Amino acid sequence: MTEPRGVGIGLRRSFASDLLRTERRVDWLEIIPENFLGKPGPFRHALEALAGRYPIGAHGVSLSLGGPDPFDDEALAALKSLLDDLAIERMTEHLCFATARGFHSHDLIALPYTEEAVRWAAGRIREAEDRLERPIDVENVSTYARMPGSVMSEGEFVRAVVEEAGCGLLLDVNNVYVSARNASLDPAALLAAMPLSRTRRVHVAGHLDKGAVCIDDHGHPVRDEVWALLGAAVAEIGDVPVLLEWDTDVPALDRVLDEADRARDVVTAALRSRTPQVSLAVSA
Amino acid sequence: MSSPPPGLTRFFDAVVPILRGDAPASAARAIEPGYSAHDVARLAMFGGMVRRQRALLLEKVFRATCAAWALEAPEGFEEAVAAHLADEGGAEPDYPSIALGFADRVASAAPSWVAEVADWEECLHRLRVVGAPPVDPGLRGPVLARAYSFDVPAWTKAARRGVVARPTASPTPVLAFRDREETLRRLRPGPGHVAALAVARGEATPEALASVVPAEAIATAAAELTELGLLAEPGPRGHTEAR
Repeated sequence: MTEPRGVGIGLRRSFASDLLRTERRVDWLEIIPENFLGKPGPFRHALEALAGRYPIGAHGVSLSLGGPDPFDDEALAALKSLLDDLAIERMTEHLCFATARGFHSHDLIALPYTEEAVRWAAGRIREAEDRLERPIDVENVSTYARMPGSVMSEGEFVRAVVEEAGCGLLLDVNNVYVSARNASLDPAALLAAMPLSRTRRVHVAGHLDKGAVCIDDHGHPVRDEVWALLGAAVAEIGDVPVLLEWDTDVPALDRVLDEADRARDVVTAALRSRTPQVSLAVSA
Repeated sequence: MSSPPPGLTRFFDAVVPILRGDAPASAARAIEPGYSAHDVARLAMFGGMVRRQRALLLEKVFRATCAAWALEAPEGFEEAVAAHLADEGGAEPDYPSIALGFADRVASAAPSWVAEVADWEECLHRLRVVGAPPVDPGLRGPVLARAYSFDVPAWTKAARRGVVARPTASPTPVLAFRDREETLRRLRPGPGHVAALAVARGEATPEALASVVPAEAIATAAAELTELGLLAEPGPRGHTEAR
């Protein structure tokens, strides 16, 4: 399968059939594999049709890469089978835990920023990569509380994990903004602390700003501050696939694509800003 | 790597009960005595968000049920959701599947017509999102058959638009299934459809049903259900018989 490039959108059930008909630009689609595992039916049929039209990326939500529980062998095998079927070459997942002690939180929970957690998460990432037989890029998650025991900053932690695991980074600029706001930090400083040179993909999304807390709900238009972070990130990183996420209160496809168009404009401007200026002056 | 190192093990031991709501956030001080009041408050808030995420699914799936419940009692729905989630306990790895079984809880705590709405919303959620229930031989795909005491599908649709009133009794059989284009369909079956379904599932023969529904009516209904994508295409022998 062709690797994702440009600006894609997350594939959502509500507009899957519209995507088969739209003539508007969509560079690639990202799926949440868990929505398809063991679930034949219309959404899977739509995915198979869409895979013939668009490059597909996969973004898992339940591997629980930092969690204490062993990987679910059956779930990993099913995931690998889906990725094989769709010829998806890279997997992305969150740098967090979702399941612990048999409790499936169905949420993305930050790890404590410690050396132990770095080594544990990196080892689990490598194990998952081996079992899925493909590289995994890990995403920085939105954080709402400093986890007890933490002795590093978020940027230091993410950098240490991706370096120890030798994996790529899925940089979520909305998560950078949300985490920074919730920790009373400067979002630009947190962005700069991330291991940007390892970025393989970028996510951008909307969030809910409740003043005392920002909630990463993927249910609103992207805020100007996050667009600015996207521009700054792309100017630093260069041309990487960008994904617009809209997961709750999902509007009509055209509205999502309007937002993707805006992401494309931001990316284009950022890439232009980093293009070296060629001098046409000829020495006399 | 079979288990996390000691410090991380202590972290999970302390934090998971907080996230489940089984321990106060201040229990985090067991692993960091200097964990500030601000940190404790933020962790408590986050734990609430984690638990809320699970409740949101049920509130979304059972929107009409919530409206029906409110007509009978001003309170109790949220408590039923909380009790359902407490019993589930985070054991279900598939997020949409958390909602399954809630209709049974409603049936044990609310009037029967409210339970019928919950049953219908759970049917729709199962067919739309959770995944197909087992397919009976003779059927093309999963079919959920129900016999309600009023027009539950219409009531549910109206309730989701905000139109809520106590229903009037009107026995309503309904079949929910996906058609050939995989669109979710609801069919109000007649006696021929019910008989054709029973025949396709091997529960009866046309001869045995002849005193209730003529064989021709069963054949006509079977052809219609096949066209709709509810029944599997018959094999050569069955095809000949249907004609």
